[in-house]
Amino acid sequence: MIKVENLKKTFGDNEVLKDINVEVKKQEVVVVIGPSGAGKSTFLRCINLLDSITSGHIFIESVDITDTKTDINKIRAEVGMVFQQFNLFPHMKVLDNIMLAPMKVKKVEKEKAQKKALELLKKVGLEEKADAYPDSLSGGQKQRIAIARALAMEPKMMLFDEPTSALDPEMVGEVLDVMKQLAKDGMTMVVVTHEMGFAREVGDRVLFMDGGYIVEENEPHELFSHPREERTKAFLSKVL
Amino acid sequence: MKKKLSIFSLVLAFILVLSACASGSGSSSGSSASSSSGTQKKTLRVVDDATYAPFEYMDKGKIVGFDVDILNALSKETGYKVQLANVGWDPVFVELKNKTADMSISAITINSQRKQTYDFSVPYFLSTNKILVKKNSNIKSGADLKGKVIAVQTATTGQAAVEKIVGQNNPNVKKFKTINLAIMELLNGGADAVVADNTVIEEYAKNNPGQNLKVIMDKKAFAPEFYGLMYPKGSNLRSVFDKAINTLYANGTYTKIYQKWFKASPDVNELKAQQK
Amino acid sequence: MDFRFDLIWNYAPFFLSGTLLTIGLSFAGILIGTLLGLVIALGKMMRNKWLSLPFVCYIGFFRGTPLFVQILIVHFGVVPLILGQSNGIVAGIIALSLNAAAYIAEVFRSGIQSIDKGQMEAARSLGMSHAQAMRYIILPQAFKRILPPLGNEFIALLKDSSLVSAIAAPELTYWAQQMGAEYFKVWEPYLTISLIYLILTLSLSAVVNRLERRMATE
Repeated sequence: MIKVENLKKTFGDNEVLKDINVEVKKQEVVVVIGPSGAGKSTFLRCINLLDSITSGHIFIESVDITDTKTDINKIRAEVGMVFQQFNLFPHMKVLDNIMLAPMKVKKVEKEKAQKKALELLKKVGLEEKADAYPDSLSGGQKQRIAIARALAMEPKMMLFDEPTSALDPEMVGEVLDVMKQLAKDGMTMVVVTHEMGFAREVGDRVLFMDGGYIVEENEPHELFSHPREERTKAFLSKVL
Repeated sequence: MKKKLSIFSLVLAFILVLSACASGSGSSSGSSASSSSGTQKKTLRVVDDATYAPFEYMDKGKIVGFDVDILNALSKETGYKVQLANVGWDPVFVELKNKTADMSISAITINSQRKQTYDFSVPYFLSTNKILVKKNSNIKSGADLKGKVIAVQTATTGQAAVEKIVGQNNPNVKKFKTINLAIMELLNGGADAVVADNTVIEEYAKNNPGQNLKVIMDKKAFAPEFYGLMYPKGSNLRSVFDKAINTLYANGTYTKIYQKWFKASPDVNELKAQQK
Repeated sequence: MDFRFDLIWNYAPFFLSGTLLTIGLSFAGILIGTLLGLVIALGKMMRNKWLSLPFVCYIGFFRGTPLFVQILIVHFGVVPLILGQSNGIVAGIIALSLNAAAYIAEVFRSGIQSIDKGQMEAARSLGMSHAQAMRYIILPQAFKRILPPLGNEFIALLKDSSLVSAIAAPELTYWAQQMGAEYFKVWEPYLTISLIYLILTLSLSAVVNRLERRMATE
């Protein structure tokens, strides 16, 4: 479903991604872990070209999105993204936050979009907040709305960029619960996170990134109990 | 403290230099040779609006023109030193009214309205308004100006003469702060005619033959006007300068200056006749 | 000081028509200047240096040269080319709009750039085009923030319209000059128009304030 070949990314003189090769299958949940500065977020943002890539290829359902002829807006409409800072639209009510993209991008009728938005709000447990403005919500509620907003486009896969890092500890659970449910429903997901428990519980595969490379990848149980690389061992000893 | 002081004095010096530039810009002081009395006479502050060639205008930062030469000749004759400052048309009247200037020479027409507030010398210049139009214009007289768009300089006798014909504040009369702008308006088709002093208009037409302009005279519509030195009401400079003006008429200095600027001979008799 | 109210009364009809023209010039300048300013702001923010260069130059020129000179250039240079003859009111509207657009463009740009980068990213990640993201996400938020500085520009524009008197567009200041010239008076005409300008600018800022309050409650 996602195939990354020889991905390189430099910011000025700084080479952030050195040579990334990875494949994500349909309905697979891939968790990306690693120390800060490893290039995890950049890797994720390259997948829907929020960051332009320096060289290499990325295929989404066999379409080369690095080809200049590809309509990137169409690709992005099918790849949901959830940000660390939520990035809700503060000038719109919660319901409008969710309805806007389906109506403007996919030209869904208003009634249909609204029905779908309310369904999604119910799914993330926030139907009573439909008419609230984002500023009146807690961090955990904001992130659940952000997930609902991404889901409203009915994406084929979801990218999560440290979705719980900006949250107070007591709110992490409610967001992870939504994500777990999503995984159970069969969503293809790539999740950058520091939540090792989530990685272990939900992940089909864990990638350990450091210094711009994928150092090691394996299914979670193996990676956490029997890391092969020294750098993986060193990292895990600090976070577990 | 020391540093503060030096900055302060620097600023002060800067302000002084600036103010000196402002007041002394293009100043032309008369000769210092005092003819009659040995006592030091005070320097007169003379103000003008140096946007009215060839009477007074700026040439490379200096005020020059017919009026300036006359002023310098009068200064020589009377022994008064003069300090000429370009202050602009409206401020000329404010300064004289407030007595912050001693005199103005700025192609100012003597009329009864102005005489109520100011004093004037004997006439030193004869002027009449003329009409400047494009060569193919069908305007032939002052009366033809009715219904046409006419550009004038604000607060000139040209404006007054035009408004006498077409009515005061008629929207067809476009009033500009300088005569250049009025003529530009004519050249660009925004006006059908410009009415202004003959000397200005003739000078422009002569210097710009490529613009296809012609000058129309209408003695009936536009009565002749006389320019005078303007003083604050009750000024005691009048008699001295009147005498000096007559001396310039008598000794040929006036004619020489007139010919230098207008390439024509003045009607000195007509000017003298006005003194009766 | 003998203040001659009777002279002001004589000129009242001219001050009235002058006020109307001043309002008209300012309104047209605000409207065209705002629309043009938005276009120029977006143009200047284009990532391609060569494409944004004309907009950078535009802002540099109109902010860096005297408005008075711009008015003369438009009046004697541009308008005669278009209309075949000079026209003070048309030239006034064009010059004021072009000049205001340069300042308003910078207001828009700073407002747009003050919006968190994440907003654009979130919009784009949902599949919106750059234009859609601007229209639905960035500009509505930016507009709320730029209303106060925009109000300042509008007030400046209203007062700058007085410079159009130089090309004999019969607005408020033009008539004050004529009155001053006719009666050799300074305070009567200029204090009168100052009062009128004050009323106009206070009304304008009241409108902007109201708009601000309304947007704040949204």
